[in-house]
Amino acid sequence: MTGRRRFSPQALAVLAALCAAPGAWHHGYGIARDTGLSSGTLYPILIRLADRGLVAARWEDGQPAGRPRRHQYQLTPEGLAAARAALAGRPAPGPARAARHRAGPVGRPGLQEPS
Amino acid sequence: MTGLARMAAALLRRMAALLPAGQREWAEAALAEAAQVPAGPRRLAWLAGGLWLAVRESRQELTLRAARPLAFAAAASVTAWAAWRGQPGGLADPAVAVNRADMVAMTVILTGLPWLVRRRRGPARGRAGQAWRAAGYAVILGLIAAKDLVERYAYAAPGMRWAQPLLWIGEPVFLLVMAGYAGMLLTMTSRRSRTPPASLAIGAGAGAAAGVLACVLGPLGAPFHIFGAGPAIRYDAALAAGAFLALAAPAAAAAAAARHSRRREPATDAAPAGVAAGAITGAAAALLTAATSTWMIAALPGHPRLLRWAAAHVGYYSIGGAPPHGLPDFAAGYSSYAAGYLLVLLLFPLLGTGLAAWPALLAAGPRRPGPGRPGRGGPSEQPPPAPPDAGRSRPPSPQHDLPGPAEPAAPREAGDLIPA
Repeated sequence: MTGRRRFSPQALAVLAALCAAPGAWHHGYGIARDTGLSSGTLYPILIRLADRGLVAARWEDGQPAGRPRRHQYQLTPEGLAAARAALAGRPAPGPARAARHRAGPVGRPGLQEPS
Repeated sequence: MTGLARMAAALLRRMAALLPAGQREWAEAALAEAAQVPAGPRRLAWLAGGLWLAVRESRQELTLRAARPLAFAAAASVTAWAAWRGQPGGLADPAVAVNRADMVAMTVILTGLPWLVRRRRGPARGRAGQAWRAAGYAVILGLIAAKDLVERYAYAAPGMRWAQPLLWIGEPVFLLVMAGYAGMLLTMTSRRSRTPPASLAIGAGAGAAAGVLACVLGPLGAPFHIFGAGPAIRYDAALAAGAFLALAAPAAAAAAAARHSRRREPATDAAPAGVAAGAITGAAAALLTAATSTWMIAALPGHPRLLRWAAAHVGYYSIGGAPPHGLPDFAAGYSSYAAGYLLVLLLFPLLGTGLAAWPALLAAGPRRPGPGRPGRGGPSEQPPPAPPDAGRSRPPSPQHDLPGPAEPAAPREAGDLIPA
């Protein structure tokens, strides 16, 4: 079911970044660097993906010296399947298609409390 | 880190504290991550994105938070305007000075009490709690405005000059009673209140019904003048039935609330829930009756048609057919009569509690034994568990200038979800 969901180009970019190392926990800034997204775009996408159960989030263990603990993200099994399906069917990006995708389903971040 | 980035981080930290728990961690994540972003414009841009995220996520919360103080400020301003005006009698009228002192004290009380109750009992219990608070504050402010108008008229009369010192004696009592009502309202609607929401709803509903009944049967706090034997008998019967229903309202509310509490799982203390419903019934009826009747009395002097109708049909001072010069005396008589509602406000909650005690105990029945409720006592005196973080920001970590969360949030899924 999740595989049939459409994603915006930005969400696909996030999924691709997470899919690159599916077993690893990723940080927000790392994902932003990989995708070129700003924090104001990245976090709403992560919220929506987490609300859908496609991404798991946690705070890193322990208190590292000299910096705050970071929030980490990883694809869930459902997220991995959905990401692979979406990325496999991803068409070559074109201007018209990219414009259509900008108003896609991940355009508005989830306002629901993540479960 | 530049000063601008520090300011942005501080703002983001404050905004994150406004967000509901589920969304707060995302704003905190953006804030924590900012420490990894190279200092300078890129970090500032990162924090700006975090602020945008917080604004997007907190729009609804911010709207609600801003709407409540604004609504209170507007209502308080209207009340203050009514209290501050110098008519009639100007500053020579002692009621003007009393009303102004009254308004300042009441504004301090009504503004300070929510802060005090929040510290001890937590914030309002959801939207329903906020709605009850708004309704209660509206009635209290309305009553204050009406009382001020009535006092202006009553104490400006030359025949009432002797009673002017009484104003300064009665005013602190009125303030204390209003503070008691506001405190009770805020405590019962707070998150850590022991009063079940059902008791509040049942009691307030029954009290409102009793208050409306009292106003219909006896506006201005006095019965109608009914002419003719037949209508008089019917009206007396209606009065008797109304009095019975008004007295039965706390008992019925208590029984209903106690039964409702018994059905709940885990079972709460049914008898206290019932008694609370009875007390709320009395308080709500008193507040509504006092507010509506005082407003009606306040409207008499400025509305000749209403005054003539009331003079002809209502009250012990009925002067139907009296010449117009007798009407101001009639209005002044009722204006002094309005002070009696202070007694209503004091006594009705006690009456409601008394009338509710026995029905609540009967409806509660024997206590059900259950886990953690040994014998007759049990841990009923234990306060309910403290709710999760009610939106307070976490203290900054001393190791860095960007605060991270004090405790790790529970992971959405336990353990690594995807094998490496």
